[in-house]
Amino acid sequence: MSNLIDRYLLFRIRTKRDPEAFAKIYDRYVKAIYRFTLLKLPSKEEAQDITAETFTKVWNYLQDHNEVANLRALLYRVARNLIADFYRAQKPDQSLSATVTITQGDTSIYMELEKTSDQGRGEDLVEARGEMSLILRQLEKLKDDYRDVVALRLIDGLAFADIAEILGKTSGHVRVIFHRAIKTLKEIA
Amino acid sequence: MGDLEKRINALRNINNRVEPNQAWVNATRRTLLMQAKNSLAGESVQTTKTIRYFYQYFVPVRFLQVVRGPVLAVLSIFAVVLGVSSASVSAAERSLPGDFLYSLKLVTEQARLAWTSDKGEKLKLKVEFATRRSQDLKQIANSGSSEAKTSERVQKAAEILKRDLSTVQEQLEDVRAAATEPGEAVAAAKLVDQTSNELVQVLQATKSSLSQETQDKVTEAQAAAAGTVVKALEVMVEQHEESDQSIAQTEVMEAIEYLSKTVASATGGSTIVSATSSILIAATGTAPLPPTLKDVLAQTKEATLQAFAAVQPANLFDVSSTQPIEPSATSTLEAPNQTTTSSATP
Repeated sequence: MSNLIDRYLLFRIRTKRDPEAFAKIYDRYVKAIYRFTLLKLPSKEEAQDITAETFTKVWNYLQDHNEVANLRALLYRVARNLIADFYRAQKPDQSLSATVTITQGDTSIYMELEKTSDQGRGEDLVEARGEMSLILRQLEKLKDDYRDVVALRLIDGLAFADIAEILGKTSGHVRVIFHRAIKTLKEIA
Repeated sequence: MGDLEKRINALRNINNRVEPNQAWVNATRRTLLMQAKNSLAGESVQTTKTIRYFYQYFVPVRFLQVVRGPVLAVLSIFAVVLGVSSASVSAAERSLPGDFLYSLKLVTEQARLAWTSDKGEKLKLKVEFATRRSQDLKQIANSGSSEAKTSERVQKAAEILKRDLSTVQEQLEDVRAAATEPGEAVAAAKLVDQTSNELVQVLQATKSSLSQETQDKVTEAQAAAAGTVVKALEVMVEQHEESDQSIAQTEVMEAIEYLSKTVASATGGSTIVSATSSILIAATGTAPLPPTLKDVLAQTKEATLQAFAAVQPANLFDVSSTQPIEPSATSTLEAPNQTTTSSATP
C-alpha cells in the first residue's frame, strides 16, 4: 500500500512535474529519516542537517533517473551514506566513536524526549532512559551492519528485502545477520 | 526472546515518541519545495526576498559550529545554486554579449531547450532564441557605448546568431523527418520562414550605425538567415509536392517572392527580384514545360547566393564555419565593398 502511494507520488513528479508531490514525500518520510539519523549522529543539529541533505540528494537523483523502484530504501540508503561520509570526514582519532557516539546519541534523544514528554510523566522518562541506554549499549556492541539491520527491522519496521537494498546485500544475508544479531543480544542481555 | 523483545519494543516506542522540532520540519519543507519548484521551472524569476529567507535559515549560529566539511560544502553549493537560479536569472535576461552574465543567459536558454523533448517545441524555442539574438544585436547597436565595444559585441552576437541559425536549420530537418501529422512540417517551415525573414530585416536596420567591419559581420548573419529561409522554403516545396493540401502553390510562390525582396533590400541588388518574378510568372504560365516550384526555388537560392557574394566574396552560406574572416581576406574585401556601400546607402 505504501509502495503504491510512493509510486503515485513519483509518477506525479516525473510526468506532471509537480513539486508538491515531492513535498508530500517529505511529509511521509521526514520523521522516519530524522529518527534514523538521530540514532546515529552526535547531535540533533547534525541529524537535522543530514535529513535535509538526504531529501535534497534524493530530489536530485529523481531528476536524473526515471525509474525508482523503492523510494523508501533509496531514502534510507542516501541517509546512511551521508552519515558514513560525515564520520569519514571527522578527524581520525574521533572515529573510535562507537561508544562516544551512542552515549551522545542518548543525550540527543533524551533532550528530544524532555521536550516532548509531559511534565508529569517523570517516572516514565526515567524508566525510558534506563531502557534506552541499556539497549543502546547492547546494540553498540554489535558491528555496524548488525546494528543497522536490527534498528531498521525492529525500529523502522522495514522488510528484509528493503533492508537488503539499503545495505547493498542480499535479503538472505540480511536475514542471517538479523538472527545472529538477535542471538548476540540475547546472550549479552 | 521475551525479555529482549520487550526491550526492543520499548526502544521502538521510545524512538517513535521522538519528534523532530516542528519549526525545523516546516522550514525545511519550505526550502525543499522552493528548490524543487526552481529546478522544475528552469527559468523562474523569483525575487531576492526568497534568497534572503533562505540564507536566513541556513546561516544561523550553528552554521559556524557545523564546520563539517561535507555538510558545509553541500550547503554552500546549495546556496550558490539557489542564488544563481533565482535572482541572477532576471539580471541575466537583460544582459548583452560581452557582459559577464550573458553566458548565464545562454546557459539558461540551453537549459530550457534541454527540458523540451518535443522536436516541434524545441524548434519553436530555438527560433525564439534566434529572434532574441537579433534583438540583442539591435540593442547593442543602439546602446551608444564606445565604437570599439559596440563592434566587438555586435560581432559576437552575430557569430552566435549564425550558429543558432544553423541549429535551426538542422532542427527543421529533424522536425520534417519526424513529422507524424501532415501539417507539422509545414507549420514549422512557415514559422522559420517568417522569423528568418524578419531577422534579415531587423539586421538590416541595425547596420547603418556600425563600422564597415561590423557591417560585414552582420551581413554574414543575414546571409545565414536567408539560407535558413531557403531551407524552410525547401521543406515547403517538398511538402507541397507530397500533398497539395498541406500547402498551396500560391503560398509557396509568395514566400519565395518575399524572400527575394528581403534579400534585395539587404544586399542592395534588385536583379534578384526581377529574376525571381520572371521565373515565378513562367511557373504559372501555360508554356509546354513550366518550371516546377523546385526549379524556381533552386534558381532563387542561386540568386540569393550571388547577391550576398556580391557584397562579400567569402562563402557566407557556410554557417558551420564560425571562423572569423582572415586578415588577408579582409583586404580583398575593401575594393568591392566600396562600390556596393554606395549603392546600399539609402
